[in-house]
Amino acid sequence: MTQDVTATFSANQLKLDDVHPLEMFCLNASNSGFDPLYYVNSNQSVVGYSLNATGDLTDVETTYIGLPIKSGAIQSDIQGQIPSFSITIPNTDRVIESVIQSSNYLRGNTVYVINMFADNLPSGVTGNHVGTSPDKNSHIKEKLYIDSCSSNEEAVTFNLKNKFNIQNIVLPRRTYSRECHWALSNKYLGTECDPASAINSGTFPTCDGTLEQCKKRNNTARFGGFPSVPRNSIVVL
Amino acid sequence: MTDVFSIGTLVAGADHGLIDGIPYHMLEPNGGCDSYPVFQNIHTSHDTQILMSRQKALPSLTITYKYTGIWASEYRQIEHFIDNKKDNLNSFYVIDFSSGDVPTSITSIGGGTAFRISTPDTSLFSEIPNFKSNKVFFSNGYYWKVGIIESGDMTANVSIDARVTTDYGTLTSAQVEASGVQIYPMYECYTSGKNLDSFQTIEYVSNGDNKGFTYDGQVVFTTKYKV
Repeated sequence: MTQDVTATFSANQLKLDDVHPLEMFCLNASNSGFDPLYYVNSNQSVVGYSLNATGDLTDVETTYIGLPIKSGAIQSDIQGQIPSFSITIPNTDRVIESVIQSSNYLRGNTVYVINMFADNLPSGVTGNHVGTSPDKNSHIKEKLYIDSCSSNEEAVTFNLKNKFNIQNIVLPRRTYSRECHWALSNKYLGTECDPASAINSGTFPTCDGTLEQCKKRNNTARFGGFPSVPRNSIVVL
Repeated sequence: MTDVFSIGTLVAGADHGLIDGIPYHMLEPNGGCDSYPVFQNIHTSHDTQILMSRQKALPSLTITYKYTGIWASEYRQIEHFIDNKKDNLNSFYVIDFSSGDVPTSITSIGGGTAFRISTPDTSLFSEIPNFKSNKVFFSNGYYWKVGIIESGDMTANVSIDARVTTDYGTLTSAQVEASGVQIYPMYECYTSGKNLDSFQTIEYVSNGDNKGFTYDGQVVFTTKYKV
């Protein structure tokens, strides 16, 4: 998936030296509202930008707690595979354990993964200010949802997925198949299948999606499948 | 003010510190002191040439205290301090004896409660509590004093204003202002862990107040904050 980035970010990512990329995380700990927890994978806490409830970076500064957070790689491919991702946050003093126990394991909650260069973080007078030329728009942000989590005495691991995965939605919605898409997606007798209500629903209450069934109903003109899609089989002539 | 290696919690108006109520005096590393900044960068190189470099983490400082032939009682002091801190569980302050500097001048600016240290190199110090060295250790070789660099009290490469909020150490104001006083940076550090393993017994001293083995060894510290 392509990301639009600012000219500053683009210039920084092309630099061959003197850059300090930081991976930052914002985890919503509330099941109903927005209660963000901020973490950064670094050896020290840094001051960064806070997110608002809609997930946009704002000018308000906040401290991202420095922890050795392990994360996977966000991947996308041309097969349309939906990226999945996991982050591991240390369970020191059971702080994260407490959050997940009191908030239904945070299932379905949002996690923002923000990649920024240290230079673009807020500049200031504390030791946690690492920025030199602040620019909150120079970032790459991914919005993911917590699908499941596991915890032990050392760490809590969140498995993050795209929202489509959590709701069992496969993209694209309509695919080429030999059977009728309308029948298989519970749209038999619907507007795509039978807009004129010509099929006698009493005689034909259900449909298994085959072309034969459609012929019986005299509705082949609106058949939603592709019968000529080849099968994996050997044809002996 | 918290604990300073290897004397423990500082006591106002005294030259000693306390560990579990036991007074200890300053024990300098007689075998030497080293310090060097640790930069964590990722390099992609082609043969010997670096093609790309990325900063992975913020730089920290590693300080090493080396001891040679110290008395058993002195070793016990180090051991007591490390035990008290539960090895590398708790942080404390460490004086970087390898970065001593004789300033151009030190003048009192607050009736003995603050001093202006004029020095051409202030790069090791900062008025920010969690950045570089926020505390300065004055020593004339016999007596010492600790000052806190408070906010807004520093002009880069010109002067540092150190405020002595509580009079730790017995170096007097007149002695601080006298020539020959050295300043050392103090950093909040952790030990690198299991340092007492490096101490080896050398000779056994069978008489006198320091009866027992003499020890050689070193303690390694890493700063808590970036430098």
